[in-house]
Amino acid sequence: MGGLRDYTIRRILISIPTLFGISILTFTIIHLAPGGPLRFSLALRGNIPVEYLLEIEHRLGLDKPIWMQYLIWLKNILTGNLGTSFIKEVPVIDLVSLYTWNTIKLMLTAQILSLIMAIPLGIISAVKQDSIVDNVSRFVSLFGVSLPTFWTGLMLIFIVAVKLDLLPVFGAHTIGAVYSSPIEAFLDQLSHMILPVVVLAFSSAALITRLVRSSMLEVLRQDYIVTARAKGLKENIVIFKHALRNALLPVITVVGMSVGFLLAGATVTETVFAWPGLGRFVVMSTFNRDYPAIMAITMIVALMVVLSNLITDLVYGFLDPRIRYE
Amino acid sequence: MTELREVNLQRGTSYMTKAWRRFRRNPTVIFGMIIVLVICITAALASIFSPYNPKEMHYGEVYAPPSSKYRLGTDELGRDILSRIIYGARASLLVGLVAVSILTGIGVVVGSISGYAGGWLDNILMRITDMVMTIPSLFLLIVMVSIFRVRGLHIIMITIGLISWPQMARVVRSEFLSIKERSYIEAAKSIGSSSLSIIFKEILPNAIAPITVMATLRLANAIILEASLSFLGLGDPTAITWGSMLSRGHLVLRRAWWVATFPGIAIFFATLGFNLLGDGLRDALDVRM
Amino acid sequence: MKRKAISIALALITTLTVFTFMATPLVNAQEEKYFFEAHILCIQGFETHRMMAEMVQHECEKIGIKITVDMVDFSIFMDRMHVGGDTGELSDENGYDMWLCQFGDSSELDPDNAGCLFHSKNAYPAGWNCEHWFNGQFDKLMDEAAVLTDIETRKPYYKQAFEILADELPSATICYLKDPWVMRSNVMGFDAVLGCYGLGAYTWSLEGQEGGTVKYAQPGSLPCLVPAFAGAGTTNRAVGHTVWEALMDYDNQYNPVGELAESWTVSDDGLTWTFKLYHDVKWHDGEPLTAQDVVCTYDGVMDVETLASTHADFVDLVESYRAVDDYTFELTLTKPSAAAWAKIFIQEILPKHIIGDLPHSEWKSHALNTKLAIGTGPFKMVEWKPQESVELVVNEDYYRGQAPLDRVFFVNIPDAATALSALEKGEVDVLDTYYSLGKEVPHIEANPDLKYVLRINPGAVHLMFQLSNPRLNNKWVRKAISSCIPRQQIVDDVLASLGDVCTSYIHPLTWAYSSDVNIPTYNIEQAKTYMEMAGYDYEWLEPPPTTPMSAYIMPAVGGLVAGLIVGALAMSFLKKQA
Repeated sequence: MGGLRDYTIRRILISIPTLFGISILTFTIIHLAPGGPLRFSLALRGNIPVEYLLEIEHRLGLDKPIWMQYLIWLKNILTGNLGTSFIKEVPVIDLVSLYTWNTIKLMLTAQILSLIMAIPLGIISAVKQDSIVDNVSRFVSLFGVSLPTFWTGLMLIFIVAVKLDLLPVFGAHTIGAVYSSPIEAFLDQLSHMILPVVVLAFSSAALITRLVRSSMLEVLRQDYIVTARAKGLKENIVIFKHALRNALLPVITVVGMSVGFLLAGATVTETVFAWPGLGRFVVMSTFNRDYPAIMAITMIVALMVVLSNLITDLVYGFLDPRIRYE
Repeated sequence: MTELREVNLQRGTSYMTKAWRRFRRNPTVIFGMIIVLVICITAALASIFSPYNPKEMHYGEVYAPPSSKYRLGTDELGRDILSRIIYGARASLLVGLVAVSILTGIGVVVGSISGYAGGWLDNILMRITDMVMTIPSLFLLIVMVSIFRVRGLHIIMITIGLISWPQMARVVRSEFLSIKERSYIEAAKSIGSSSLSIIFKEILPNAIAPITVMATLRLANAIILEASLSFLGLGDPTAITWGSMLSRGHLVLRRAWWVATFPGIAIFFATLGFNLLGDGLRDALDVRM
Repeated sequence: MKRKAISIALALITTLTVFTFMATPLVNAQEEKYFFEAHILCIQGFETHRMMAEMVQHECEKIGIKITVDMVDFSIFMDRMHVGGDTGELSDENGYDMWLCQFGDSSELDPDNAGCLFHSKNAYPAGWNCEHWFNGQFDKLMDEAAVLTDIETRKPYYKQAFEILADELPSATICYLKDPWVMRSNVMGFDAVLGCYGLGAYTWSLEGQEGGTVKYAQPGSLPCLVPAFAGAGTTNRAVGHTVWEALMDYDNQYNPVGELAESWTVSDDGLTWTFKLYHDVKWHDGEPLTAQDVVCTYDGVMDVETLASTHADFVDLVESYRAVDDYTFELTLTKPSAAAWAKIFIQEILPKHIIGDLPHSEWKSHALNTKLAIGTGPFKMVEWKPQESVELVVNEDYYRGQAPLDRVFFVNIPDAATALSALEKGEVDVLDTYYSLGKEVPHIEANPDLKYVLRINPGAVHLMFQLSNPRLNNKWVRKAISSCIPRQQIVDDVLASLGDVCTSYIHPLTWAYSSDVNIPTYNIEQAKTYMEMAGYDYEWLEPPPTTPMSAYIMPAVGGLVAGLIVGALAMSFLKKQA
C-alpha cells in the first residue's frame, strides 16, 4: 500500500500547479477582453462623468498593472474572499454557492443515470457484436453524439412538457409553491430535474456506450481471454471476472474527464430550462465582464474537474498496480 | 490435388463478390464517406446548386411554408431556406476544417515532442495540456470569444481550434510512447538518423491512422460547438451558418417549423457523416484509441 | 483495395474543399463593385435590430454602398461609443461609422428629451450626442422652447427644430415599436400604455377572483434592488413602483401625477416646487415616511460617491432643497425646465432610518440593495433569489388602499421559447415585452387561454451617422441612405406589423408632433439621385460584372493539385501501416 500512498501524494501535488496555471490563464484571458466591466455596468446607470469613471476604476483597483491585480486576487482567494460581483453588488460567494449546488445536482444525477444505462449496454453490445442489440445501440448512441443538446432539450420541452403535460417546463422548483410536507418539496424538485437530467444523460451515455463497447471489444480479443475460454471457463466468469476489469480502465478515465463535458453540456441545458446554475451564470458574467464572478466560477469548475480527475486517477491506480510505479 | 482445388476457388469469386463482401463487413465507412462527399460537393458548388441568392430578402413573403417556389420555405426576412442551407454547408465545412487544421497542427507538435522527448519536457507539456483540457470547452470558448472586438466566423473557427487540441495531443503522445520502444526505432537510431528524421519518417506515418480518426471526430464536434455558440447568442449573427439558423428558428418552431428543422437535420447529417467516417476509419485501420 | 478507396476519397474531399476555399473569395470579389464601405454597429442579442440592419445592408447594395453589420456585445458597444463619441474614430479604428439603436423610452414623449439627442450640450460624454453634429440654429430653438411652459407656444419651435433635423439627417429614424405583453386571459389591469415607467402591478388583478398570484416572466435578471443603482433597465421596473415610490409618477399619457406627494405647487418663475406629502405613509417595516427621508435620498444622489445613476441629471438641475416640515418638501431648480420633473421627481425615496447614518459610498453594498428592499409601495418584498425570482406580497397598510393581488413573482426565464411554453402551461402568467413576441401574435389570438396587450413604445429606432466619417459627412449621402431604408417592409416583416413608420423625430401621439416634417421615404431611384448630387457617378458602377467561368480555373487547378498530393501521401502512409 506504500505505493498507493506515494502515488496519491504525487497526484495531489501535481494538481496544485494545474490549478494555479488555470487561474493565471483565465485571469489573463478575461482581462484581455476589450470594454472592461465598468463601461457596461455604469453605462446602464446613465451618464457618469469621465473623471468619476477613473475614480471608480481606481477604487476597484482596475488601474493597477495586471500582475498586481492578479496577486491581489490571489491573496483574497486564499483568505476565502471571493470578491464582490461588479454587477450585482453582492459577494460572489453567496451567488456561487447556490448555483454550484444546483449544477452539481444536475451533473451528478446525469452522470449516474448515464453510467447505469451505458455500461451494461456497452458490454452487451460488445459481447453480442453485430446483433440487433448492438446495431440499435450503436445507432442510438450515434444520435446522441450528433444532436446538439439544446435541440434535444427544446424538443423534450415541447413534446413532454407542453403537449403531453407530464412535466414542468422550467426552473428548479415551482415558483411560489407552498409545500405541506418535505416529501412534497422533494417530489416537486425531482419533477423539475427529470427533463434536464435526461438531456444531459443522453449525450453522456452515448459517448460512454461507444467507449465501453470499443474497449470491451479490444479486451475480448486479447490472448488471455482466448486462453480463459480454451480452459473451459464459463462465459459469465470470462466476461465479468477477467474482461470487465481491464475493459473498464479506460472507461474510468473517460468518466473522470466527462465532468468537464457535462459542465459544458450543462451550460446550454441550463439556458434552455432556465435552471439557476453555474452554466447560465458564466454566460451572463462573461457578457457583463464581471471579473470576480468569472474568476470564481472558473476556479470552482477547475477545482471540481481536478478533484474528479484525482479520484479517477486514484481508482485507476487502485485497480491497475502498474500505474502506481509510473 | 489440393492446390488445384484452391486455385479453382480463387477463380470462382468475381471482383463484385469481393467488393460486396468488403462493403458488408464495413458499411459505415462508405456511408460516412458518401455523406461527407455530398457536403463537400454542395459546399464547393454552392452557387450552382442554390436556387436563390441566400441573402436576398423577399419582402412580404416572410415565413412562407415550403412550396414549389421556395422548396424549404423562407425565414424571418423572406430569404430562401434551401439556398441558405446550401451556403451554410460552406460555413460549417470551413469552420470544421480550419478548426481541425489548427488543432491537428498544435496537437501533433505538442504530442510528438512530449512523446518522443519524455522527461521533464513531457511533464510540462502534459501539465499544460491538462490545464487546457480541464476547463470545460464551452466555458473557455465563451470567455475567449468575448475577447474580440467583433463577432466573426473566422474568430470562432480559430478559437474552437485553440481549445480542442488537447485530445489530439494525448492521442499522438500515446502513439509515440508505444512506437518509440519498437525495434526499428532502435535500428534507426543506431545508424545515426537524427531525431527529426526519425519522427517524420518512422513514427508519424504509423501515427497517421489515429490522427485521422481523431481529426474527423473533432470536426464533427466543431460543427456542434459552433451551433451551440450560436444558440447561446455568441456566434456570428450575420454569417450564414446552420447553427444561427437553428437558434433563430427555435422560437417559431410551432408556427414555422421549417426554419429550425431543416438546418437541424443538416447539422445532424453532417455530424453523423463525420462521426461515421471516423468510426469506420478506426475499424478499417484497426486503430486503438 | 481498402487503402486505395480511402486514399481516393480523402483526395476527393481535399480537392473539393481547397476548391471551395479558393473559389469563395475570388467569386465574391468579382461580384462586388461599390463606391465605399461602411459599418453598422448593433448590440448583440437584439434580433430585431440585426434584421433591420441586414435589410438596410441589402438595400444599400443597390445604390453602391457596401455595408457590413457588426454585432458586438454591450460592453464592447459602449467602449466603441465612447471612443467614437470622444475622438470621432471610425469603425476601422475602434469607433463606429453608423449605429442602430432604439432610443429612450417614456422620456421620448417630451420633445425636450427626444430632440436633445442632437443638442450640442449633449455632446458625449455629457450626453448621447456622439455624432459630432452640431447646429447653432437647432440649439437655439431647443433652448428657447425648453424654458417656455405653454404647449402651444412651444410647438412651432419644435417643428422648426425637427425640420432642421429632417433636412440634415444626423440620424435616420426608422420606426416605432409596439411590443406585446402576452398573458393568460384572466389577467387584468394592463393598459395599452403610452410608455410608463413602472410595470403597474398596483392595477393588476385576476378576473373572477379575489386576490391571487401573478407570475411575471422576464428575460433579464435584476442586478440589485435599489433602482438608483440598477439603472433604468426594464428588469428593474419589477421593483420600481411596486416596492419603491417617488414623489411623482407618470400616468399612461405621460402626464405627471403625484405618488408620495398629495399635491404640489410651482412658483411663478418655474423654479421652486413645493410638495405636500401624504401623512399616513409607512415604510414596510412600520416606520413613518417624512420629508427627511426625501432629503436624505436627494443628499445621496447629489453625492458623487453614491454612484447613483441619476447623479448627472441632479447636479445639472438641482439648485437647493429642504424639508420645510415633516410633510413638506421644497426644491429649487437651477433653471426653468418643463421636463425637469421627469428627471428629478421620479427618484425613488430611500429610508433614512436604515441607511441615513451610513457613508454614501456604502449604500450600494447595504442589505437594502443586496438582500431585502424596504420601501413604501403597494407590495412588500419577501425574498430575492438572484437570477431566479423576486417574491412580493401585498402591503395591507398601503395608504391608498390595498392592491387587488395577494402575491406577485418576477421570474427570470432567459429563453423566449421556454417562456412561451411556460406561459401556455400556466407556469407563469405574463411575459414581458422584451421577449419580442410580435411574431407569435396570430398564434396567441388563436389560443383562447392567452391574450396580449400592446405597449406603445415612444422611443424610435435610429440609424445614427458618425459625421466625422468623411463619406457620411455629406448630407446627400445621408439622405440617400435614409431613402434606402424600407421602413414599411421593416414594420411588416420584422415587426409583424406591430409598429409604425417614423415620419418625424417624435412620436405621432405626442403634442409636439407635426406631420409635415419631411423624412425621406423608401425610394431607390431617389436614393440614387441623392448619391449623384453627392458627387457619385453611376456610370462607373454599371454594369455589375458577372463572374466569368474562367474565374473558376485557378481554384480548380489548386484543388486538383492539393487532392493529388493528399492522395499520394495517404497511399504511401497507409502502405507503411500494412
